Amino acid sequence: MGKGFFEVGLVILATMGSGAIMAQQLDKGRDANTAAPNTSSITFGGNFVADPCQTCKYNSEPSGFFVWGRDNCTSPGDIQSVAVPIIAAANGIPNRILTSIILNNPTDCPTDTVTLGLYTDTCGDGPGTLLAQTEATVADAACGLTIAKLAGAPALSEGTKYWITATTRRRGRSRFEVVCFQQCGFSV
Amino acid sequence: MSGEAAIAASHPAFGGNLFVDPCTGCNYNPDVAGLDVRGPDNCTWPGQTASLAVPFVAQRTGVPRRISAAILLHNATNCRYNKVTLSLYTDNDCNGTPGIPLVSAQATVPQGSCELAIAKLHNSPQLTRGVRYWVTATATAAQARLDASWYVSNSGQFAVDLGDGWTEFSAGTPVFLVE
Repeated sequence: MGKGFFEVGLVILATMGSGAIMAQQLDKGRDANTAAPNTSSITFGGNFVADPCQTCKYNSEPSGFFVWGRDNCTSPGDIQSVAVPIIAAANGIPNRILTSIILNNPTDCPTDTVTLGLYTDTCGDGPGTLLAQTEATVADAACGLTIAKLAGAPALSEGTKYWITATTRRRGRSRFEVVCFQQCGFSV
Repeated sequence: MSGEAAIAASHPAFGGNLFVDPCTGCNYNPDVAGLDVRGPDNCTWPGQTASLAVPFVAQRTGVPRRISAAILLHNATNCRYNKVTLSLYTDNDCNGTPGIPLVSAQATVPQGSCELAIAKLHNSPQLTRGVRYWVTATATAAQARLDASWYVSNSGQFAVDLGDGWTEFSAGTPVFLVE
């Protein structure tokens, strides 16, 4: 296991709305308890859970996974991307990805742009072919969500496995913390 | 997946993490070793016992009728005892442990891979949507010879790229389904 790797995880949610596909844009991180999920949309997969023992829809108590750009504050020179799979619960075109990514240190490491991607699966080697990606603004508050609005994503097929990725494409002081995974369970 | 264990529309789930991964066709992750569920007279570590518990938040209000769990025998050739007790517990005030037992039933540990141990519940109390409960797997005194493994959910998969390509890992919780 690599340096800086913390065994907790990433909460993701990919949804499809009924509206037309929008141009790529950034979407500010928001409070998880007010921003998502949108009950009027179709959920392809995810693992957000409203747990009465947790303040957030994800487990924010343990450390999350770092998502590092090369010029991050904690371990400069190291990069780290994180991915979690989903098995599509419906057919359709996704229009956004919601994640439990928040800034680890907003004061000293304020770079707040992360790339959220949607990939095919390789059955054993993680993400395969890029399907769609866009940048999102990382939330800087507890229980926040980082939300990417997808443009031009292809249709997902029910029962097929895909991956959601969190990466950094640009150089910069990009250090993010991703919280929660299996302890949050899985919600579709 | 066992046909009996398939989620039926008329039998909606209260909670669980059971689903089939198309890469394996299995309702649990067969690439990760299961977690021990043992009675004191088990073959592998005689004298040691191991019980497991997994929390869930009820997705609806109602009376559950069965618990399914991906529990398989650790050594089906030499340790063939195949009964396990699956139970529902309250949550212990968010302290990270099960609280008060609600209902228990015995399940038979299946022979084949990708099958489930299923406990049919009788006289279970009603579960309440949004409330946290626990599923437990234990060996009673009468099940002291149990030597089994509880396999983890496909939901625990993730991948990390440190700059040289993706590597997959799994950190899932034991597979269960409360219906």
